[in-house]
Amino acid sequence: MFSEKKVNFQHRYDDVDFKGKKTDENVILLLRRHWLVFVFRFLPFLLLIIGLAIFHIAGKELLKFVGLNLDLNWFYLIESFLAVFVWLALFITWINFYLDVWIVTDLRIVDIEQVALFSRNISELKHNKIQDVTSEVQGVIPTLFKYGDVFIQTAGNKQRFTFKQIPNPTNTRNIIMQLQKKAILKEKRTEGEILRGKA
Amino acid sequence: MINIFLILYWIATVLILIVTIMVIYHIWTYYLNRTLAIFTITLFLGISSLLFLINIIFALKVDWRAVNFLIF
Repeated sequence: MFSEKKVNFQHRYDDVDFKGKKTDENVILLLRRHWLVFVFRFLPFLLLIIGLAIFHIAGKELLKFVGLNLDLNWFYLIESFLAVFVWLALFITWINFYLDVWIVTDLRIVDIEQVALFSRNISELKHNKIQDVTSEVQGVIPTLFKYGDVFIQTAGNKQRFTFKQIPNPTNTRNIIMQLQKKAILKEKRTEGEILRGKA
Repeated sequence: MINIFLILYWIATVLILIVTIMVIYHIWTYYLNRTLAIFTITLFLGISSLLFLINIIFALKVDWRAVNFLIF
């Protein structure tokens, strides 16, 4: 029913370097959340920036209207403080978005998750330990913009890997399935060689 | 005499500096591409220092004694 599309691995990420990368290891996929996810996270900051602009334009008049005779320097000090906080919060949000990375190499899958500024999880999974790969696209916007989750079930009772809100989840699933098949074939070959006494 | 507003200002300033250093540390350590990391740090520091400079200028201009209802 579903024909498995052959994917070529020519698009390599040679400039990508991560901690623990082996010398003979090639990065096949480097995945982050879809850009639209960042846009949604950015929206509250956009409202804050608009709020700040309104505060700058109409704040003084508003203070006069209320009857508060505040020194203008105080007004600008509060405003600049708010601007610094908005800028910092925006960058922390960017870091949390950008440092969430899933790296698929020809040897393994590395899951780097930046939970918060001081919380970071890194886990890895060898291709031959993969049992099942599922892609899931749910909702109107993810369907329109082609992004969703990929779940990787590992052997044993280990926790499953999840690639969250990545672009093109079906394509990613296909690539991982091909890599898993290759890894299992390689493992079987090695076992055969051991049994035949060649290794 | 202790001015509570001045203390709050210094606490906020120190917090901003700590978070700024942590953001730079994260970008420098965890970015997978060095060139992109340098570009991001430059952008971040450029705008941060501009905003911080404006902040300091107004902090110097402000009459802290005017809020003497909270001076101990």
